[in-house]
Amino acid sequence: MNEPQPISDAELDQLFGAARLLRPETARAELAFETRLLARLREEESSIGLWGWRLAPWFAGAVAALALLAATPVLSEGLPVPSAFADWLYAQMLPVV
Amino acid sequence: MEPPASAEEEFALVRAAQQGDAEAFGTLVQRHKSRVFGIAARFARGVHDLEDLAQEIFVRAFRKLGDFRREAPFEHWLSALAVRRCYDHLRQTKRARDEQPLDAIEFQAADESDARTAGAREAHETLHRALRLLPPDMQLVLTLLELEDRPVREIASLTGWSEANVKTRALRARARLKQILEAQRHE
Repeated sequence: MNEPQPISDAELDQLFGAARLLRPETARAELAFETRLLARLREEESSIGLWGWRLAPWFAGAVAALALLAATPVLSEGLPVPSAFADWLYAQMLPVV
Repeated sequence: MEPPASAEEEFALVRAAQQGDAEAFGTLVQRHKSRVFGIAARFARGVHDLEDLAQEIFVRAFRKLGDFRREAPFEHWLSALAVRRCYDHLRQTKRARDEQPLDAIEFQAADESDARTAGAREAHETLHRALRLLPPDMQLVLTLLELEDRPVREIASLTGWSEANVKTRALRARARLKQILEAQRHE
């Protein structure tokens, strides 16, 4: 059975040296590239804007819920929000318990 | 062709692009696209893949413009971003590397009448086939070091690896490449 012929460092260097003479030819691919790129960026920006509009009702709902919460009597007494809210919730539940 | 830009002018363009000036970013793209295409063409699987890769690099550059500091020239910042994106690309496409694309990227000599061109083409084909079989980090380091002829220091700065790490990876990659070439010669 034949053993694979070893490749020396000099031989490998010679191979790389020869291959270095060639450079990728990209001039055709580069034509009007910035136009295509900017169109893609604009498209992405506008789709982000579209998502913003789609999410708008959810944001509005969240703001309304927060406003409602802030308008409850317990919260307006100046207590820290989390404990005030807990107290208020507890008070609502007491008659039931 | 665009005249070479001064560092100040380049920075003014970057600042404008950071503030959303698409025209300024377009000018930056026009100035640096050859550099980015030159890097990406070494790792893309074909002309269409090259377009996608180059677009991804510039889209990422646009999104990350806020991270650009004047510690290094813009072209260096962009090249590092391109090299890192190409490395990710190699890792993501490693399973598909064996397939030969129909729209392969052309490689040309500066002087096509040079008698050495035929040998260069053969060497390029041999290496291209063998390099595809290496793990992504080895492929990256050998391409930058041996085919692009970049110094170790520059590769370290582009990849974010230490210089010692670059040298070690290159040494291992050469040894592995030799094994592949020996096996291919034996077939």
